[in-house]
Amino acid sequence: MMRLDQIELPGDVLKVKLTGPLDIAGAGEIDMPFSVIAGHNDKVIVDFTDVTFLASIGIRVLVKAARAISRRNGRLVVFNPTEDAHKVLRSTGVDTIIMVVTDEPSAIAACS
Amino acid sequence: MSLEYRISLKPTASEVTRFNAWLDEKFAQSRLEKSLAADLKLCLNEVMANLISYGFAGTVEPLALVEIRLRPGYASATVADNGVYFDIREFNSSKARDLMNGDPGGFGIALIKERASRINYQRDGGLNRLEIVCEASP
Repeated sequence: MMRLDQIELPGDVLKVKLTGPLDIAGAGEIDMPFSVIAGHNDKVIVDFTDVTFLASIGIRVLVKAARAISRRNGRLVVFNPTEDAHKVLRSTGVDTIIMVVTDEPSAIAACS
Repeated sequence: MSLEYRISLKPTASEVTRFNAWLDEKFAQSRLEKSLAADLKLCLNEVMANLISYGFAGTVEPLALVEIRLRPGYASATVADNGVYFDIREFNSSKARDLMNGDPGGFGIALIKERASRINYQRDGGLNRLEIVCEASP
């Protein structure tokens, strides 16, 4: 079961905390709420600390959101992925359009 | 000694959740290296996602049977299914793609080819048999 929590931060930054496996079931659960978030927020940081697994279908959700936000000159930043999740982000090349950083302060700085 | 396990699955997202819990349990029991476990789990998730999305058009009773074999430095799986012909070895998965404008999906086959040491495929008697082998680097 994938969980998505939203926390509004100063400077119009929205923090999205994901918890659970981002497999085909998890991606299905967050696809719609993530699209809504991407449609209404220009500065989004995604806490990957507790994403326990990442498959390509989860990458698809991130790419769609990053595109929607970048069309408004906004930015989506992922922070603190596990080593396995980071490896998937790197090997798909997604880290060329979605910035991946180590911690929350870096993520806030990157999208401000 | 090689440990062997099998599970039958229906092509639904909730079955993939059950499958992943099963894989995690078997990997823990076998004490397989974490990197190999991660590689095989990712490959199998990509295979199951493909089957769910495209594999069973027109199949009346879709079913997949997964067998895994685990030993130190080695993890393999055979996925047998009664879906349509699909040999992932025939698909090119170029990394040179426009991520901002192209199809936001299609990463799965590239990930399988990157993580698997070997891939074999046979179509026999209306069944697909896909074998994925992940081995530790010497």
